Amino acid sequence: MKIVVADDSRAMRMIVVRTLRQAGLGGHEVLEAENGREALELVGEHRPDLILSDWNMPEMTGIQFLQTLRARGDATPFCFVTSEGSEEMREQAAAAGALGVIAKPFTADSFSDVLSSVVTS
Amino acid sequence: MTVPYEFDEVREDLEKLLGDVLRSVLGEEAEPLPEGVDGPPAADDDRPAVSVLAIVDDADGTRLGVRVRVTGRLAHLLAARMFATEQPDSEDLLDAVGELGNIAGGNVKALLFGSSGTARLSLPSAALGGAIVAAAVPDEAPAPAVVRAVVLGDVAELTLLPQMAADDLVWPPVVRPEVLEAQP
Repeated sequence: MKIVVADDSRAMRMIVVRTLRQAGLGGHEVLEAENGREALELVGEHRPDLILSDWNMPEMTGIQFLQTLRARGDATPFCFVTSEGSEEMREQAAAAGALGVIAKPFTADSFSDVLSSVVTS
Repeated sequence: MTVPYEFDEVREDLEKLLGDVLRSVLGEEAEPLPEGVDGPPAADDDRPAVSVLAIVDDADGTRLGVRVRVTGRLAHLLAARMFATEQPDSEDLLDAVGELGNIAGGNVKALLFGSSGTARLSLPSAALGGAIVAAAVPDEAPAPAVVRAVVLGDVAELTLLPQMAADDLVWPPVVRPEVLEAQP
């Protein structure tokens, strides 16, 4: 599998990749992007199987990234990993076609719960 | 423009929030430090690290600064664990402390502005060694709310700064949906 991880924090991209491994969902090719616009380009080039994206990012936010993908007819499974897990954002994410929202701080179990249906180890 | 909380009512929530954030990024338990109690002193040559964000509610102009401050030693430990390296450099420290602030800021926003569809969170600005991060507060602003925790023998501090100036911080873009749909 190919997984795109989009987050403006290098630290958080590393933590996301490590948590995937801890959740038993590691061993996949991971492509990293610093914002939604970079991630959009990666998706076009590499056709990933899953996208994990922060919400608040410079250049293009996570929700803008998701809305742009879906407007193009791209249905790649998409999950937010964000420090803001309010009900309103979860509703907005679901309405835009996200698989779910994993709120920071998170655990390996949070990843398993949301992603095990789309990621195989 | 209002302060979106009564500090006494949210103190416990803020202490829990700070403890949860520290536990998640360090994998260590954090003990709340009661108000007025001195925590363990930092080393004389310690260079603290600070991360600052702001939450702005466009509906009523409410501005709230969120500042996380840790000792230099704790910032070093944090970066070492986040990046799995024994010798994190300054960039690693800034990124690690910035992300610590980002997680705290997002959780503060969810706690205090959860029902607001108009509140926005800035990106974090981090600094090392006591350098000043944009955090100007007018004289007439309500007093800051401060909670502290001790983790690995060092103090971490979360401060809410009502009416903090937020123009110098970095903000995620606001783009109208119709613009997005027009993109190729």
